[in-house]
Amino acid sequence: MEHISIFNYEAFYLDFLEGNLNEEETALFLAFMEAHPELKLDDESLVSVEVETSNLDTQFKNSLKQVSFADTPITLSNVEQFLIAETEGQLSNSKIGELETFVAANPSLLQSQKLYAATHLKADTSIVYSDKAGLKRKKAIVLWPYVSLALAASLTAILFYVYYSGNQLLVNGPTNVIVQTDSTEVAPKDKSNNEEMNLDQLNHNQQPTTNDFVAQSNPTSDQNVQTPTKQDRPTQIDRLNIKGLKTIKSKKTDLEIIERNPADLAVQSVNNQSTNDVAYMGFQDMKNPIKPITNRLGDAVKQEVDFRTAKTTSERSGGFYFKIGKLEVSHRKH
Amino acid sequence: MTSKEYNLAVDEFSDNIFRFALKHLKNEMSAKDIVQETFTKVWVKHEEVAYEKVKSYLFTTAYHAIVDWVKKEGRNGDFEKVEHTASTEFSISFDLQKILNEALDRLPEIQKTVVLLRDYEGYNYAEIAEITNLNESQVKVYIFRARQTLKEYIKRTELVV
Repeated sequence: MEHISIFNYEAFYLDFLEGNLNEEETALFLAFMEAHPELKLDDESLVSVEVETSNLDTQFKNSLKQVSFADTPITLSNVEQFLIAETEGQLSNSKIGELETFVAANPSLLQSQKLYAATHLKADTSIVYSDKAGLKRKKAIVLWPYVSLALAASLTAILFYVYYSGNQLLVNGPTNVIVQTDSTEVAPKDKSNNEEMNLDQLNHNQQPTTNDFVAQSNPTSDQNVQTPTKQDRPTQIDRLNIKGLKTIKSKKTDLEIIERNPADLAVQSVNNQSTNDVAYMGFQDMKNPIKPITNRLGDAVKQEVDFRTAKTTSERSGGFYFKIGKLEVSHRKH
Repeated sequence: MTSKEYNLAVDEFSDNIFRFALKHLKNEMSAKDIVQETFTKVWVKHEEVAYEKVKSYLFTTAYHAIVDWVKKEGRNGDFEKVEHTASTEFSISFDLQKILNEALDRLPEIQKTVVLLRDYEGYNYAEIAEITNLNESQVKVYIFRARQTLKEYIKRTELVV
């Protein structure tokens, strides 16, 4: 038995007033209260609370009960539940039969059965939402990445063209044939060389007198050739490695066309770039300052994109080199 | 679901959501607001919702929007409050659906919701429970009580007619 003290006497006091203490506990409690008369309550009747008992309606009580439709027999007290279950489709075929039999035996239930069957609502399909179009979403095709990249590439090319427009531009054709639109302005070939020219002799030709240039995707043998000048000669050309060089004499002009088959050109391993271009071969010392942009642009347009620049130093000349697909634009400053 | 499937859901279920909301709010403008709010919320989550589940997702969203609207507007105060006012006006011609609609307006909102979902949309108890965030037993109880109320209302109307 727990010892009664001033810290727990209230619990014993309550049990005493409610008559929950046995004889031994009652004796101990009374002895404790004699020892501590100051703890006795003035009015012990306030402590006890009488619980009022409520009487619920039997029908209400029955309505609270869970009816197992499969197992519970049908009676007058629960037939309403079965009638509702029937209209809800919750009864098995056998139970429906049992219910029909019960209703037939109690004709007063027929009306209730019909009324429950009529409690099903039907949607008024004439009520429609008129602004369906306002709820719909249109699929947006995202063009801005491609447009912005194309604009960036175009702007870059335009800026450098404008910046270097006072200088001579050297254009490389897509199949590495250097072409110029105006054949009349092309400098004649070197008089001292009536034979087939090699690359060295090309470098000694005069500079073109026009700033116009053109890049063609499929140059023909009838096209005139703009040869690079000595000043524009790439500084790192390994002539011995340039294979596939052949000369074709033009039928219309005295100019000779230097045509190289890209497949026959040796690949020079310069930063993993294509080395089939005459122009490029002089620009591998330059660096690409916008490599992520050119890589992204190349992925977007699915063509090789390269851009290189270099400042003029005491050891080398500066300039730029820009390539997108088969179009190449380059320039060397001296 | 894709945006195309979302637009299909608009065509297929916007009328249903509108009728559902209109039955609760009895106001066309408010019901349209509920429709727009419902589809806007579904569009935000459309990538996470499978098209096969979009109908129940729409009704769940609409139901919660209606509850919020009722609480916000102070209409009926308590969503489960029983409508004690008994109408003494009965239609002379016994139009069953009209009587049922009158009776429906006298149901507590939660009973009205479960009955509409059951009769208008054909949801089973489990689906209604999921939409209304109740358990299945509660849904059954509410439907049974709703049926009893509707039946008594029709019975009284028949007697008057």
